[in-house]
Amino acid sequence: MLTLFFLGEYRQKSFWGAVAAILLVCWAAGLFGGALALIEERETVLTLAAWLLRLLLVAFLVIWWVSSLARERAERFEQVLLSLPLSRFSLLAQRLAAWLAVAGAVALAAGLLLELLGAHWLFALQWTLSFVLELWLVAALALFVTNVLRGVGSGAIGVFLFYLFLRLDAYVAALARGRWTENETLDQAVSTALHGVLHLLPSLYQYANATMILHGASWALLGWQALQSGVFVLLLLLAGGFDFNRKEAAT
Amino acid sequence: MTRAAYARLLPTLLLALLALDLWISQLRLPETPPFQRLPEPPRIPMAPLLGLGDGEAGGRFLTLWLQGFDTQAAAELRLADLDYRKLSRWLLRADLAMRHSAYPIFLAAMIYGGIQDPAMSRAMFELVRRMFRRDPENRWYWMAMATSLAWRSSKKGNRELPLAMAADLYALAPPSAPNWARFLQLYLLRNARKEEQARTLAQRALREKRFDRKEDRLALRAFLHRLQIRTEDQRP
Repeated sequence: MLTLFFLGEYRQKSFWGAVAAILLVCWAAGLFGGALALIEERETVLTLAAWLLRLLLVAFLVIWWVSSLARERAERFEQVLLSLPLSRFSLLAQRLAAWLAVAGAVALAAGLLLELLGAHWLFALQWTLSFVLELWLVAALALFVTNVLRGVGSGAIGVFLFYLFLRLDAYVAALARGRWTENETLDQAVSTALHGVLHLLPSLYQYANATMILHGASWALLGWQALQSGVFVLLLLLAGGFDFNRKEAAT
Repeated sequence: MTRAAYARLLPTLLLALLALDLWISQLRLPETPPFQRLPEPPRIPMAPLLGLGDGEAGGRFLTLWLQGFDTQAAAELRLADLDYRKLSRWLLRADLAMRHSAYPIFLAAMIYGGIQDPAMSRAMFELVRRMFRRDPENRWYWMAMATSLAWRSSKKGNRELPLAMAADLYALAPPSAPNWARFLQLYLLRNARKEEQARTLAQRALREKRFDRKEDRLALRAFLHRLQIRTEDQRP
């Protein structure tokens, strides 16, 4: 019931209007890029559109989610929710469930647009699934970060910067392999430590990328992404729940 | 607005247009517009950074930027104004980022390889050979096009590069490629008056299992037959 209640947030026309505007912009940008290409027009259209869809939709959803939580707090709506006979963890989980459902719908719309732009249906399906998993990770991250950082601006920027870092983690790891100081042992130690940390984080560069929409991906890779997303969503939810309980107990 | 008001507005509008025309005619464009030189590619890989982790997308952005570099706001550069050494490095970067794409080899073969300067075109065709070896399955077409271009731009007695490119095609082009591309080396050897070499190669190809399709054998036999007629015609 509460999940449906949270979905009320997405009944607003402004949400779907913004999603439609983003889809339109990506469609136009893709066609523009395709017109510039001398060969491989379809590939260029799909690459540009998929790349932009991924970036703009994630940015928009992060802002929307973070600001919706801030709005609830400002309108004292959070206190009404807390007065309901529900555990705080269940409150958080249901909110996240609503976000995941909306992320699925948005990713589906993006996948359909790519299919319309000429992607193979199977590759579009794989890309959509991968994008859903990426959006789920971002949703869980947004929920966790908003519980820690309570401001809208700091929350949204924090989530988006961390998202960009996760996308570039393989790049950072590759850079860390180079020689940066005179001391080779130090370089080696820093590189190993960084690799260790990066191995623990989800590899977002593999999610919903241009290679996937143009040439498809193996189902094993998608399974691996599902596992990564599942584990991280659960971990972030538990951490968020713990933090929420701690904060509420303190106040 | 009434008709009289429009009539009053019209002379003002005409005067304004005239003034604008006079002002534009007074403007002087710089005689030698400044243009940007192609920079050296940075040491770190650019494509994954441009694509924010998506290397293939970054590589495609890179090729589009490179392709449009000669058309700048104040100048239309000639190919000869580009630094081909730096250009090769940029193209190689894009090629490394886009594993399955033929866009960089197309740019190298058909756009930058078409330059009249022999040294510059040679550098580009060497790059084409390198790119072709990375993915012969998807790139044989542009390699064959580049070989034809290299043949046309080379002079008699200096046919090593197109012949070497054709040899690459003969060795690496996939069976799905048509015979005109796979056997380009035979035709070029014949045109270079190296009939004996062409005959030996065709006879060896007939023995090889790589060319055991019916149409391959037919093409090779037809080639040998025509070569025989030509040799007999040339005999005094």
